[in-house]
Amino acid sequence: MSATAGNWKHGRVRCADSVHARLFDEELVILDLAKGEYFSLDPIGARLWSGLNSGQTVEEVAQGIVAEYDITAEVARADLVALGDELVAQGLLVHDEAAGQRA
Amino acid sequence: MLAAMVKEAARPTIRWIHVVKVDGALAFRAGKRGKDMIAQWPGLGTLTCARDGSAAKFSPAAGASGRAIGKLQGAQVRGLLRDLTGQLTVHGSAVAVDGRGVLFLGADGAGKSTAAAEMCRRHGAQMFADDAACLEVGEASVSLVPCEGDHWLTHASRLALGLPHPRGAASRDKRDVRASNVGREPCPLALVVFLRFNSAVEAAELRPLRGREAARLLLEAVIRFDLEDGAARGRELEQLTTVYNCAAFFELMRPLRDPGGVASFVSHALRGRNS
Repeated sequence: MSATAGNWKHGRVRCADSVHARLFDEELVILDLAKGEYFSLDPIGARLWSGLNSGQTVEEVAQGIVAEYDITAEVARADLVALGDELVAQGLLVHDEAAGQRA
Repeated sequence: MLAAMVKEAARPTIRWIHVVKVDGALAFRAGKRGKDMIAQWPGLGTLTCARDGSAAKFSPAAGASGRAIGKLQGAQVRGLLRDLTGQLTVHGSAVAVDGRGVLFLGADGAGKSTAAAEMCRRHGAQMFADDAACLEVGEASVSLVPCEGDHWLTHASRLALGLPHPRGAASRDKRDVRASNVGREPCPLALVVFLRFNSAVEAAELRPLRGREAARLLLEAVIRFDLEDGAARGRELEQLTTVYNCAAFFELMRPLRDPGGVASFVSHALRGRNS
């Protein structure tokens, strides 16, 4: 397990080099070239993906979702963290070293 | 003899990377041998070419029928070679209705060929593809390219369309019928219809497909040769996004007893696209 798996919630992550993602309306299709596998995310998952890839933290993404949906911050955060854990475990998101150096 | 054996031993071995079986029997496989790509349809033939699709050579299997080989070369072989040159081809049939392209996707036996034949023979559509539909994908446009001129129909499909089935042909065998009106020029893709038979439904149902559901069906339909070419697969995803943005997507679910009746739904979907 990479270091990213443990600390992604507090740092910055980005799409892995071997991964391509495209929006189909509000839903996201992700292609992992390294494994030759496709994944898809619903609109909320797509929000997490684009938020994390544009430098937001999971907390910031959760705040945006709470503002739009009838959901508590705790539930939103827990759901997003669970999904983020899965994306990192699959190797689709990796720690953004460059973001750490820029900060 | 010894020289031949030495030569054979020195030949790179084939690494199969994509194997398709139907009812447990090998139906297709594709792989690499040294710098060459190789695809094999048991009982029909073998395609070899370079990684960029050049130097393509199709070797028919002994005893394979000329018609079956012609169909294979015009559809699957063409699709595999197009994939190696960055062009998108999908497993499906296609027609043009009043200059607008309609693509029929679905699993084997879902009625893709029959739908295209019904549209052409009864509703004046132009034939574009029976088994492998060629797409030209621009930055923000997608065109269907005419590439096949024959319908390949089973006995049941011919019956539904009022066509005689050739004597001696088994009822499950698909036999070719020349399309009466074959497309000559590319036309913009307007509609993608995913066909499905479902004995649980009483009457045919048309519903829109959006997002990842449409994306999944497109991904499943793409004809690919080099599954390990990351750049090609990344380009393919971009092309499919453009296809999705340029056409309307629907699923047409029909009761098994009614293989026809596609045209009215296509007209309805196209009218909806106009409004």
